[in-house]
Amino acid sequence: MSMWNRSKKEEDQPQRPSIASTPAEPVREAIPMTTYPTRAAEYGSTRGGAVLGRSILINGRVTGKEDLLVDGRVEGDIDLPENRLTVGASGHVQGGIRAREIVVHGTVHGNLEASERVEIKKNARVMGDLKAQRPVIEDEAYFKGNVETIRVDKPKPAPPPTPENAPAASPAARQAAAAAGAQTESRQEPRS
Amino acid sequence: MASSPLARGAPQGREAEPPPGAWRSYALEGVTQHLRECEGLQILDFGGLNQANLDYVTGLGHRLYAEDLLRTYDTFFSPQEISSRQLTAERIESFLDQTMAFPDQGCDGAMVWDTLQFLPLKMAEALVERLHRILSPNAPVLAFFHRDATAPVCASICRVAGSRHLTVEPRGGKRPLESFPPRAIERLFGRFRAVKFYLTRENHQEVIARR
Repeated sequence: MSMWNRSKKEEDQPQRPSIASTPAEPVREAIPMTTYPTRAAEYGSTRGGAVLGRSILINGRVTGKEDLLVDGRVEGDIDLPENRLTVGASGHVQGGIRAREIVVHGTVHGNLEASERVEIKKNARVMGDLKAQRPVIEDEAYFKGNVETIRVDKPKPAPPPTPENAPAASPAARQAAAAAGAQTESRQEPRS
Repeated sequence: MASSPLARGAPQGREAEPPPGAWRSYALEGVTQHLRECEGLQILDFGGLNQANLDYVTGLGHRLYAEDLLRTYDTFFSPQEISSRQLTAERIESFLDQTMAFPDQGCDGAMVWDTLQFLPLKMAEALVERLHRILSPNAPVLAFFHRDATAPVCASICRVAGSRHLTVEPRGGKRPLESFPPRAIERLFGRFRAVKFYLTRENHQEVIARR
């Protein structure tokens, strides 16, 4: 029992001084390996991904299967069909972009096509056509081009089990609505 | 284009209350009616794109081409050309080729808001002439004019709020205006089939011209 206890102490003891004896050694976990997390956070990305830094120029097609932040310049198409592409404030893309999600803070000369969302942020400049399920344009963004939304046909939910069709508005109600200046347009669904 | 009595995404029945300060726009209502009756139209917005107008047009199932005509005008022409308001026919043509390069009768409606009034008269005339060329028959043009053109004013950001209301906010600095009394507007849209005028409570002249 005593031997067991002693050996346990011996195991523990050398470890403590060894940490204490090398205080100058930096803790690895604290060293930032990349500045991307900071910038990614700046652009609202929650996941890691690749970064093209400000001084990087790519002349050619970019494809991949991870999120990408472009702070440099890309002269060519970018194809990330399952991922998010962010064009940073200093980013410049001269070519078409296809991605799941596209966020532009910088400049794009080319068409944007996203299976989900395109966001054109304040002060961004986009010259090209845009096709997305949910295009979002902030004020003071410059956009020149065509916008087309992709429609996803969702199956219609079954009508709730309410009593027969809702009664038509009474003449009095219609008159009241008309008097209030909020006349309904006669575009109600035809009753079956 | 197939006709659809009930456009997709269109607000049906009673609309939500318009935001405070919104204009009741009869011209917009005319455009809305046109957009609801047709499908897959190509609509032009020359006031710069904003989310409200984007949702309005695409929500009714159409494509929207957006261009901030005044912003492009400011960068295309030199400060001397802009201050003198003397533009040569070649320069105007070149500007229109850059901003409105569409095939003849290739578009189905245009919202120019108050842009025309901030352009030199020659430019405004050439622009309307170009609109006539690129719009399909019966396509509407929505425009409005400030009635008091004696002092410079800011151009407007117009946002559609529902099918018959607009919110209008100033944007950029003040600019000189061309004066467009109703007769001048009629002359401007002289080649169009019909021009309707509405005077808003805010003392603006709304116009809907049909190609």
